Amino acid sequence: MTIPQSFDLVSGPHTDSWVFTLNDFNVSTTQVHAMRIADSGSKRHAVYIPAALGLFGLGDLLPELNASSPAAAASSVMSSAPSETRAQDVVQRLKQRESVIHSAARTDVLFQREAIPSADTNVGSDIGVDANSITYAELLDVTRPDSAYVSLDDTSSWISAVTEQRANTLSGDDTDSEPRVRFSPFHMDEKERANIEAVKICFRTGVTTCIPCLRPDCNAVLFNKREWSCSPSSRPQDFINVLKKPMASRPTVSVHAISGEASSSLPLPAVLTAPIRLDVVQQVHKSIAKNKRQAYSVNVKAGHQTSAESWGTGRAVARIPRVGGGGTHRSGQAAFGNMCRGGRMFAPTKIWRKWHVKVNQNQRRFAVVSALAASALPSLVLARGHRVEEIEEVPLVIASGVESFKKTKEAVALLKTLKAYNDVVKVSNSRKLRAGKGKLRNRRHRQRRGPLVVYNEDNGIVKAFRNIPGVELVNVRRLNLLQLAPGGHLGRFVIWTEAAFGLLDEVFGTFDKASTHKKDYLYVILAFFYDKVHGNTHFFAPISLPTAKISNPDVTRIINSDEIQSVVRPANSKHQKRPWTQHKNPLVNKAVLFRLNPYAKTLRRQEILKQERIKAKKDQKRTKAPKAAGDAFLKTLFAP
Amino acid sequence: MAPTTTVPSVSDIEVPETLLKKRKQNEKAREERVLAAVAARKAGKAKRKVVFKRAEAHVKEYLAKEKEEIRLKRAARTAGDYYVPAQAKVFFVVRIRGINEIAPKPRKILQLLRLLQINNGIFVKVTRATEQMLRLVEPYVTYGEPNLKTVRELIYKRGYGKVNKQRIPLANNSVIEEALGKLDILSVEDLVHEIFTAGPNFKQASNFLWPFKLSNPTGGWRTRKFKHYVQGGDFGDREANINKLIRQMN
Repeated sequence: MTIPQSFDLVSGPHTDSWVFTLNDFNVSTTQVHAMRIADSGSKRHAVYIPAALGLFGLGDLLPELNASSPAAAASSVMSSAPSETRAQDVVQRLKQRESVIHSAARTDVLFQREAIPSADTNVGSDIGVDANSITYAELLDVTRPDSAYVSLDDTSSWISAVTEQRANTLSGDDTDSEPRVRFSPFHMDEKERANIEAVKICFRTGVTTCIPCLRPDCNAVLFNKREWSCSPSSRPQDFINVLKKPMASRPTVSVHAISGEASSSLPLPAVLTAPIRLDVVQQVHKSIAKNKRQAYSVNVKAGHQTSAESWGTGRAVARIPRVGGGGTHRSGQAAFGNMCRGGRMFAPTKIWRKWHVKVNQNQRRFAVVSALAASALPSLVLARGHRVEEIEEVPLVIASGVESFKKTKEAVALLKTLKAYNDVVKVSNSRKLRAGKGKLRNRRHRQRRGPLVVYNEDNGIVKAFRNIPGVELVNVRRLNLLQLAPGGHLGRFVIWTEAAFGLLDEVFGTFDKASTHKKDYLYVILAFFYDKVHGNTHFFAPISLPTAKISNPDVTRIINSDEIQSVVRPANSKHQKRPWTQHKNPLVNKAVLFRLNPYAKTLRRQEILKQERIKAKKDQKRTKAPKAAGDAFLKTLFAP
Repeated sequence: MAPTTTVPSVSDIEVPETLLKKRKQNEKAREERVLAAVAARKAGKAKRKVVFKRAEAHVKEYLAKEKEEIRLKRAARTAGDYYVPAQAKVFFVVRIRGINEIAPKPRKILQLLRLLQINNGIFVKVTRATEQMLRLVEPYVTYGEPNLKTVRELIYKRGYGKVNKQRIPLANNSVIEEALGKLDILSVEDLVHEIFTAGPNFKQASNFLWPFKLSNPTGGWRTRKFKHYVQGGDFGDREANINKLIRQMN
């Protein structure tokens, strides 16, 4: 891994930033190098420290770095140029921390310290603990040694603090193509450091968090859900480039007042933009729907409450067990078999049949998220059968005042103004007697499902709406897949209250933010390790709100785009043309012969010419002038 | 300019972007195809010239060889010596017997020689090893040294090549060129030459040729097929008489 030289040293906007590059590109792991990067007068210095030193506060290693201002600190480092004594000094101190070094030798992480706006906050043995930031110790609350998780509340506030700070400092920047990672350095004690295996860097906000297991003997990283590896040539900033997504602007949904017209608006929660996976929803729904089942079985003793025995052979009857005794019709009758009247059934049903199906938590959440996203598409809601042709907007959000409704009359009136009452009418018109024995088993009627009202706080809304046929109510924190996708069919008509709609972002998190109501439903936080042995860089991300596998689903447009068409070869014809499959004999068919052997033509020609010449000569020889008859002959002929 | 009717006229409808793109692509593809065709034709003509020259050279070579043989024979006769012609370099082997009741070793050898069917024929280079193989399968095959005419006629009439494991007729020189081009065999005549003169790439050339599927001979086999040729049958080495048989079987 080479030093990313361009990493903010020369071109960054911060005049006071340092880069700590933890990299053991040097053979010796305990050398310290200080280099000065000249940059048109501004005092920026880089201190390169090998990875073996780890991620830790370097305050005690290089006390000069704790000077009042970073520039002063760096210059003090610089003024004493790498000299023997100084280096030895550092080596000494390093050796005292040998154990710490080895445990962290695996990681190569890039850090950049951000300039602290106010000059006086650089105090203490930490390197510039920000007044705004929480120290790691606080974060982890080390007084509770068995706490294994970073409290997400703290993290999010910490992160937002850092994000703000970053936003502030970046607001005046020129366009800087190099990504940067920032961290708020933290103070840790020996024990924590020894247990650290990984550093987590949030690439979105540039914040690092260490998530070690605080048990002294445990070296595990605490959430290790998925791990991906990258090509060996990746540099850290390549990662950052790859993973950085532009923050898309979110559409808004208008909130309808109780009187019906749109009043304010809310941004669309990220959940409603999640991918809609019908396969996941169907599978999860199928499994979850089985969880409310009650066991049934036949009586254990059924069919066996006789003492029947087979009569054996020799009595002109079948060998099936027969009821003994006498004095009643039953005696001599067959018993026990599944084919016998009054016998036990084949494979009597048992109550220990597996009635319930366990579904993975993340699958369940995925399905709910998908179903929610589907409820935001009017076409899907219509396709499911809800009568929502006339409503103003999907998703339908009503002002929070509705949560204090007490009277069903009010509720009905509201639904009518929202034009959602047609759905309720549909339900009441569809109320019919159930076919079959369910009638006698307290399932007498069947009807369609109406709107699902999602609220944040029940101040009477449940009682107001619950008697309306078809309407179901649910708290936004407890959304149920069986209600969001009844029958496994996506697109339930959902009526949100304003408070509930706004809470969706917190319940499910967004692509940037953790979920506060669900444990482990986190934002995209990543860690990466550089495996020096194999030269691989690994990073991983835990579970969060699902993203689509393909970000631009218009595949036709992608295929026909210039970028692809310019490198694509022209399409072959749909049907492959068969070559002429009749074999023609070259010994007979001259055209084929000449096609195969062009010289054959000249050979043939020469042959023909030769034959003609021979024939001509023969003819010449044969055609001689007829000789005139001799005198003796004529005399004899004409003799008298 | 809003039209007066709701039915749009041709000028109102905009051509979809993908359609325009496709038209452009098709134009480009057509031009490229035309250029490629012209270039291919030129290349084809050049190739034909090469093939012609080579065929001419081969014919000369064959004539020269024949004349040489005759000259040597005559020289020996006049000197009172005996001229011993060179041993055969190539044999043509034809399988005489069907597939049932063959002992394992001859069966394996027939498989190695690619004679898997009755009346299958192949060209085999004559070496100590192949001679021994033929000796082992003698009761099931007949073989001898083929003529130039035999070789030519076999390849022209019943020549198929092994292309991509398929049996493809040698309808074009391109079939041969694509398979054996890197061995400098570009046409049927080159192939004939390679086989007849047992050239350096004989193995690849004869392996390229699918085993010849010959007919039963017109005029029939001898009365008992499964005696050695010298005993009045048909199997074994029949030296130059193989040509007569192939004339009947081709």
